[in-house]
Amino acid sequence: MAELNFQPKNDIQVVVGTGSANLGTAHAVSDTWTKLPIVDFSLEQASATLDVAPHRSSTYGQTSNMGRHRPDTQNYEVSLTMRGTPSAVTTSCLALFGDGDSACELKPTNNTGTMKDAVTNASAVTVLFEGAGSDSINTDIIMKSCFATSMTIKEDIGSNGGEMVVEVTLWSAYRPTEGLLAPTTYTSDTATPKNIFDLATKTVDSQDLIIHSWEISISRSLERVGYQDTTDYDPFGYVQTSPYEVTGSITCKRDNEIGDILDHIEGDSTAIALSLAESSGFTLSCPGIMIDNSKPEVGEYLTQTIPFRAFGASETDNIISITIT
Amino acid sequence: MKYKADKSYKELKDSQNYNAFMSPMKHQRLLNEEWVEITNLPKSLNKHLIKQGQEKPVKEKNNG
Repeated sequence: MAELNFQPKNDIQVVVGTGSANLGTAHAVSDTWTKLPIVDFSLEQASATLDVAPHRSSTYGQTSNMGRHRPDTQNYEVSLTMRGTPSAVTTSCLALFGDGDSACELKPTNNTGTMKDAVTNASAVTVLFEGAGSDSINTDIIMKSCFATSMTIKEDIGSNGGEMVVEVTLWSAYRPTEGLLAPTTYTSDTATPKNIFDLATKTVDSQDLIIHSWEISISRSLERVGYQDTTDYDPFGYVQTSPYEVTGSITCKRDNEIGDILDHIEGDSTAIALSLAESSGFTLSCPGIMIDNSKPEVGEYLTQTIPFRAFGASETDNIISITIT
Repeated sequence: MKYKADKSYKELKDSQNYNAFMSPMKHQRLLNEEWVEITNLPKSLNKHLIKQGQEKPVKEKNNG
């Protein structure tokens, strides 16, 4: 008889484990677990792509001995979309650049520690999808040793009531498992999200812009290092294959404040400061951005889109700093 | 507020230092004797960190 069960998306809880753990080992039930304010998510499952060998001349069909699964090259990636609370931001910063305590600071010297199998790492997180397992006994999906490859923070007066949205992509080369993992206790994040209507400071090069929306993305790429055996195909570790890149854009009313930063829009290769801050509890600071091909937009009134890239003034200076409480 | 590590910070276990407070990078920077921007200092670390502006004056050596 056909199975009658099904899995409603809203029954699934996403809980993230943090703290020091060996790469290749899920966080223990007694570690720190936080139920983040997830509004959308994607899922992964242990899987493998299929390679096919060439067929021999004189035959026109494919035989099963030509198929080869490739779990040795497989990577696993999930994206989480969250309301913009402090823990949503800080957890993402931890997994992306190793600083999940306000002020979360990204400098050119940041990294996420030694990413080697069986070596302790305090930046990796375990993602637990409670209730997402396909089995009636192993009801959870557990993704261990996840690092972030990108995060985006954004606010828009035209969507979500102006509320901050945080999107993070978490990546692992270890197979997700279906099992049971019941954290002893976890904190449910019920903090109030940040909101664009609460911004008190919105300046580029000290010019006070009337901002309609803004977003900032931080990204890097990771690769798995081979595989240790043909049982689990665990990697030897991970390597980071690109620098952190911080890019973003602002859409604002086009007025004489835009005129005051015209030299930077025209292109003077000079880094200028971006600051977005609420009166307390949130400050996002990029001390050195360069504007990247900004153009006016034509609507019922004119707006200006300002794409930018953030740089550190030196290897020990901040590229971006996020103070959030 | 900026803080740097006191000698005692370097003796703390991973379960007590900034690795346990979601910031291995702050931990590394404190070990490197850098000043680190901290918004809410965990109470348990208060006595192991020095607030900027409250450093003990370095005693001058008497060469005479």
